[in-house]
Amino acid sequence: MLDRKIEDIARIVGSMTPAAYPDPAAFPAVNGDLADVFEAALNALCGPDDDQPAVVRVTDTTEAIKTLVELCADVPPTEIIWQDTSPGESRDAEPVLPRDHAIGITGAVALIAATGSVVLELPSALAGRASLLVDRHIVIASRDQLLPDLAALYHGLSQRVETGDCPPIQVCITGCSRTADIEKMLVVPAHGPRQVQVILSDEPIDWAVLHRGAASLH
Amino acid sequence: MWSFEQDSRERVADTGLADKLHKATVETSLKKTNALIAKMPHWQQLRERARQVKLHTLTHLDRYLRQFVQAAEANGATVAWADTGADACRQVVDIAQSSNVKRVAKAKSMTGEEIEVNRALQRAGIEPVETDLGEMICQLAGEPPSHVTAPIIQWSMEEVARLFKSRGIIDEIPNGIDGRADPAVRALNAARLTDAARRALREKFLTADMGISGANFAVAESGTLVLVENEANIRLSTMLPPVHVAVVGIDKLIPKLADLATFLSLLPVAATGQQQSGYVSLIHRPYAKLHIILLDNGRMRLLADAQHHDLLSCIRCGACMNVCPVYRHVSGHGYHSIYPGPIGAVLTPHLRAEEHYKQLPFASSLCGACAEICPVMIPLDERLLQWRDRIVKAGGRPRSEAAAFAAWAYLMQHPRLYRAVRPPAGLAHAAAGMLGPGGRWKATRELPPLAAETFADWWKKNHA
Repeated sequence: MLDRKIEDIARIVGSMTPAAYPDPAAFPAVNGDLADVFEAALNALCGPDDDQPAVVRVTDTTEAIKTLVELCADVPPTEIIWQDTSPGESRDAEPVLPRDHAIGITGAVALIAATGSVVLELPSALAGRASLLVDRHIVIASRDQLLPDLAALYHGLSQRVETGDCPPIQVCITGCSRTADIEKMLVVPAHGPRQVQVILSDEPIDWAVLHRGAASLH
Repeated sequence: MWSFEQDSRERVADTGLADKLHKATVETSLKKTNALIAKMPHWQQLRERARQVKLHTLTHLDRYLRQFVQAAEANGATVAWADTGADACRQVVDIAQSSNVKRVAKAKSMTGEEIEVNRALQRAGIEPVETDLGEMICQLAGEPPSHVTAPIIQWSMEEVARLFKSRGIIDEIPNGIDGRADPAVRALNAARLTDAARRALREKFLTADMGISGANFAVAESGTLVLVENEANIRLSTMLPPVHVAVVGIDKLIPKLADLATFLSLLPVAATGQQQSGYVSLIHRPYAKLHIILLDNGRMRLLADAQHHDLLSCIRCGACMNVCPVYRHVSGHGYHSIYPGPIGAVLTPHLRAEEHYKQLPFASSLCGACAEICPVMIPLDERLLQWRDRIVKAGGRPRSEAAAFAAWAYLMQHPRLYRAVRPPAGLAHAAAGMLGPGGRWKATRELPPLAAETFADWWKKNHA
């Protein structure tokens, strides 16, 4: 059926003048320090009731742990869910019925400076919960993960197709979950997190150290 | 036969409707869209590239469909074809029944609306739950969405609150929701209503046995489905249930993931005046059982239309609706089509066989604002005009109208004759309201008062 239909389409297309595939568009250069651009972009996306900064800058893993513990103060570990990004270690191996948590903690595979976006790769359905079924989503990431714009992200992804290295699911998250369906009034949250906070480290994050240091949050 | 002209008269008379639509478009979405475009030096270049990518894809659609199917199947998806909406619905119901599905979480999807999949599920005893806030309200109210990206664009908060109360989603209608109330209180109430909907839907998400979505883009090189949203309901609908069915029009194909840089820089700006939407999900190797149903439903016929095949490059942003003065007076419901506004007026007569949709290309002032804003550069005003030409040539308009225009054209080309037969201005004005086609034309338009003297006479007197 599918093949036959594609044959039919080939016949239609055969009578059309073929249009050429265009060159990539040139995106304007992102000026300034990418971390600053990212911070400004994400802060601009805060919900109306958000009084906390969207980006907390730290120097290294040790400081990231300290900040994380502070951000999670007064929240019991049972109300915290992690999406583990450390290789070879999966904290969501056990199938658990999904439920809402107060805080979800994830890493990121990239940050997009121009748009204030956080890019996650989700190896499993359960991994998605920490950025979805939570009130606050805390992302721990580092400077070396910053990309200037969406062009860098999607051109990079295209290159990974050839090596068969595409992530099962990638989600590019830009700010909190929101809706403006009722009279175009912005409401936060809709179905997902009310807040996305990024702990942005100058040095790359050592996840093994971070997990040990933040053991009280597990 | 349903008459756009008759039907729209009532809508136009409802000035409250025009007010609401103006506020929701010109004063909000469009303002944000234009502000962002002003800050994008590459906007025109992106539009041109997007148009070219779409035209390239359409003129090589067989190749890209084959590539997509192969890649998606290699990723673990099952790919099928549906000739019609009814065919797609039957397949969706079959999949649901074979997986013993009782409840379906529905991601917002115009394709889903087009094929009326909810009705098919209900008939099969399966509960479809719309999970986008606007779509949920449409479903509760039993009415179709009125805009492709803002389904309840003409609803007031008060109307939403009354509906929620009648369905037990809220206990009491909160104070301070009418248009005159304090904006801060209204904002709080909008949040309350949204929260009530969130709570009502949460349980449905967690217990749904299947998710149904469309796709904003289907990437040929990798077999990836791309879903764009702000609320996170699409993520919940497609990633929590064990089965995911995506009904994807064959017009959604794009060649490469790299092309997303172009399209995702245009779509959110044009649609909602956002630099980027809240969530862009790329489903590559699904963890749910994924069924992709490729939908024709008139698209192949349109592809074969040498003049109009570029209508298949529409990315459903809804910007042409926001800028359209006709849309802003009659609303999406005025078009009686799930695709309203300028794109709906040219697309619907292609996708639907009913004769009455041939009225839609006439529902335009041909101002061209739609073509100017369209992020994929569809020359919508030209397409509207071409449709009119086709319909007139096929005898789809009254003979008297054709005769009147032919006479007018002849007179305009023969100035001596024109001067000889021209009645005094006042009389012409009165006559325009009485004569057959003139009367019909004037019934939906307001003529400015005519001057006592013609321009030619004035010129002769003052400059000759």
